[in-house]
Amino acid sequence: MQNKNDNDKDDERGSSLKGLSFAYRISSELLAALIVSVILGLLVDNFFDSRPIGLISLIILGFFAGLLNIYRLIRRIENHK
Amino acid sequence: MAKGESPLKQFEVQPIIDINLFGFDVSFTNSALWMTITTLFIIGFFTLPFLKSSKTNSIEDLYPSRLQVASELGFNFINSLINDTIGKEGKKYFPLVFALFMFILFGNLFGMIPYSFTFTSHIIVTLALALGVFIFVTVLGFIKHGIKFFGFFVIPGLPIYMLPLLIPIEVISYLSRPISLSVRLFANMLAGHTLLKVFAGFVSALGFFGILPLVFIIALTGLEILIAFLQAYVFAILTCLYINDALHLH
Repeated sequence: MQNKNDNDKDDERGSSLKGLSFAYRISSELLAALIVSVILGLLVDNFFDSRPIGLISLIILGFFAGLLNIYRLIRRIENHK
Repeated sequence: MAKGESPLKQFEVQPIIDINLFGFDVSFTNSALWMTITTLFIIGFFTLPFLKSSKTNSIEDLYPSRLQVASELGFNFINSLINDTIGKEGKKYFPLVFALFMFILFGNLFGMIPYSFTFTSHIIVTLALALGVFIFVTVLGFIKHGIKFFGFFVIPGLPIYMLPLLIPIEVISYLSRPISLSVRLFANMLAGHTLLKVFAGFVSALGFFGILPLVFIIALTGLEILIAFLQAYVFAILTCLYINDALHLH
């Protein structure tokens, strides 16, 4: 009984640790995709002289790219279970 | 911390020895000093236990020293990480992942020493590391698969009319890798150290009740050491996953 409790505690600690790294990863994935898409959007606008259109469309694409990153991350973790 | 000193002052890069090479400022800064210390420490940590080899053939030589066990622990940790994520063919990339992990880990840990400098709290350092990984992985993919590497951006089994929409998304997702890798490490280090300094400022400001933030700082230091390890681990595991992606595409 004592052993089982200890194991449960260890599992809990491990999972909260994993949860922390998981949270960091999700937030940074979403942010990174947006940063990249804003940079790309500004470059596109500079190149084609189409001030807001490139930025807006690439930000939308970047948001989806961030969601895709998160989806991949979650799927990978689910596969490991 | 002196009164009125900004909590961000700890991140200032100060030149120690001014060097000017061909018009470029390549001064030896405190950041460079701590990188040198970290590198020398890692080299020492992983060579010293194996240097004093057996001149005397006493029984004690058969037992590994404590330092040797510690360094083998680090070796085994990365070795099993590579085995789990890449598999057998990942052995070739062990030096890269190991060097990255150790450099970031000890950089973070040395940053926890008071009055030291945390070089991983600068985006330029982490971005350089992440871009190194990114370029290496991309070149590796092209070497292994040639032009087929572009197939990485196409999800198999997708209707053709979806491609114009999904290829840009995939490309953005691919380009965001070095950014997310570097921003994560940099932001964690910056936020943690700033928080420590801010609470350290409360200690002197609150007088007797400064004992409360002091207790909090002790707990926070533990958390910071945990995060130092965690971020180095995340950097290493993501490097492994990216190498795995480049080797096997989908």
